[in-house]
Amino acid sequence: MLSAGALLFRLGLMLSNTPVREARARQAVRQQRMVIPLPARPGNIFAHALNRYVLLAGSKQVPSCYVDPGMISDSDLAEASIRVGEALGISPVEVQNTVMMRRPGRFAWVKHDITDSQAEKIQKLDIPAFGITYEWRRDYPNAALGATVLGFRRHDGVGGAGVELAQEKYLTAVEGKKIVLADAGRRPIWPVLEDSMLPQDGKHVFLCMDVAIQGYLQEAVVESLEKFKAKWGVGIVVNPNTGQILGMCSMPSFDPNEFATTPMERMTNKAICAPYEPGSAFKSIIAAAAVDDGVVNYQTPIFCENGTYIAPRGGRISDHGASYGELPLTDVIVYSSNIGMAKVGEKLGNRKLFGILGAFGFGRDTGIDLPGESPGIVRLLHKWDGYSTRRVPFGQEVSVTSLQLVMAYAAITNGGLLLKPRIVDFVNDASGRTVWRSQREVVRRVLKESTCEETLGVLQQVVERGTGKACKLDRWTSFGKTGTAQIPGQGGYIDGAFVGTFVGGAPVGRAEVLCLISIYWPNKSLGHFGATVAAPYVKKVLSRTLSYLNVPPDVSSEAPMTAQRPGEAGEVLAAARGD
Amino acid sequence: MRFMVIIVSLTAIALGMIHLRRAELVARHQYQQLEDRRIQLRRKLWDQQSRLGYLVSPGEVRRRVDEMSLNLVDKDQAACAAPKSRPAVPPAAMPAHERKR
Repeated sequence: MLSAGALLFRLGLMLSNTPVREARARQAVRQQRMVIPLPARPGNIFAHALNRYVLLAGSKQVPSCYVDPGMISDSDLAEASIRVGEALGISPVEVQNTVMMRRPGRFAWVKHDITDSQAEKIQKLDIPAFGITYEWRRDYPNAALGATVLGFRRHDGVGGAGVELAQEKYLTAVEGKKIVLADAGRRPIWPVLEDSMLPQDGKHVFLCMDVAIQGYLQEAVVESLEKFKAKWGVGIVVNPNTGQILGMCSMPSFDPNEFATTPMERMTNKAICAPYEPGSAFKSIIAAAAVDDGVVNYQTPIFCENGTYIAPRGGRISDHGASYGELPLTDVIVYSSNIGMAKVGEKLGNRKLFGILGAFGFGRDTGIDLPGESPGIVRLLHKWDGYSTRRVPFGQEVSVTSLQLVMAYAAITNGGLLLKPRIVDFVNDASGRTVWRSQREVVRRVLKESTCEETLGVLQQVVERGTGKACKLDRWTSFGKTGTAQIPGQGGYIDGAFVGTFVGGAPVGRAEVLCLISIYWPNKSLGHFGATVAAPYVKKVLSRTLSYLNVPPDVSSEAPMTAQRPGEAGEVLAAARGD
Repeated sequence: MRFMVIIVSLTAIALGMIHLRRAELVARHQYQQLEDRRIQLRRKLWDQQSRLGYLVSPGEVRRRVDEMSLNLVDKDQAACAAPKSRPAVPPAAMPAHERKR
């Protein structure tokens, strides 16, 4: 009876104390359990180097020394500062000041990014107030190579721009955690494996970009910028058949390792986010569309008004000092006649012109996997007037990005398909399995194949006998178009301010590479035409790129050589006859 | 006698449990050490990858090539500098079966 009473009493006591007991249990668990984070590395970014890959961005952990100022008494501080200072190679006064200034706080950095041996020395000192922790650091071994495309990763591990930001979902790592039971001194004694979580490293992103081609492009753009004292310049190299961006730059650029001290304007990828009037580089697109539509053909004669055209409700248009009479449309493009193109605009009318811009993707994003893309500026159709009819065909009253322009040329080059540009080739997980691969994506057909063939022929003539002679290659046939546009300011065009552009590709029959270089606001006294500031540099890029890609030459450079050495020709002919 | 059997069995079970407990403790300790080692090795690996990245970067390669005065040129320049290969054979000089193709 008595024992039954005692049992009931204990039961009552237990029930009445349940909340207190649970709180105590929770507290005990909190004190006993310790969560140790397991580091997971953000994904790397690689670029092609022909058939291998080069690291563009990678992460590593670097040791840093910290102090808990609350754990060190004044009497021990002097000696500890001397020993820590010696280990880290810094002045003891500096260590002492760090501790004194952060009191009564419980955490302060003593030194970031120390060496492994320094970290070992600190651990051997066994001063409880000083400890080592690891911080993430993003390394960019290639410094400024492809920096505006690559972007940068902020110190808190979040992508700040470019591929680093756009591919955040793949690059981000998920830290693991290890739960351990600890003793009173917070020393781990019993790992609780069941509640622990393994770290998941970020995935590696492989770009279509090739470091060699990127290097050629950057060198060429920088050379032009320096020679013509321009404000900035952009360059793009694209494979017109696949839409893969092999190189893209915006110069002057920056070193992502030093992004914190770089002005924002240098970090901007102007190839995708700085629209400008394309000028004459637009002519071949409009002409191709007009031919495709059947409004004109390349043999249609167009009277170019001997250099000055005062269009009804269309203002005055000149051919930049030249005086042409009647020219076939081919020559309108080859000699880049503004008046000729204005007349093509008149034949097309505003509605069709607007439709052409829409079809080629002007006025909307290309959809490239990079952040901050500008759609360019195409005014609404109801705001177009007689000026627009005559000016849009030669690249005024419309602003496009370099990427839009080069993709429109890619469509002409590849037989009429507007492709979505792509910068990321594939994504691998940490164990090397491919988890995502980009595919050639056709946006729409914009031209018939036959029109493209004709247009390429015309563009080849631009290089052979027109404004683009500076881009004639020695070993390959090439094509291209120059563009020189004025830069608009408030209330009109700025005096002496131009953008010189050249878009060119090679070889003509089966173009492997298309390159665009735009030089913004060169010093006019040194040169400002696309043919001067951009074409020779596109030639350099194309020539080096085609050699690098082992594209077989389609121009026999040996002919003059053979003339100089007739003996060799005899040998070859004999070999061909089987002698 | 029966009690003795029970006591011996219980003692054996207790000893077995102590042994198991000890073995588990050792295993978990080893796991912890291996985990720490794994983290250290991963850190080293990441560091090595980064260093390798620096060493094979085009800029660094070019710097070392210059340093060693190797006077290397890129493919494009090499193609121009190299002795010219044989000229393209004019179609007329080709054997008939080649021409058909």
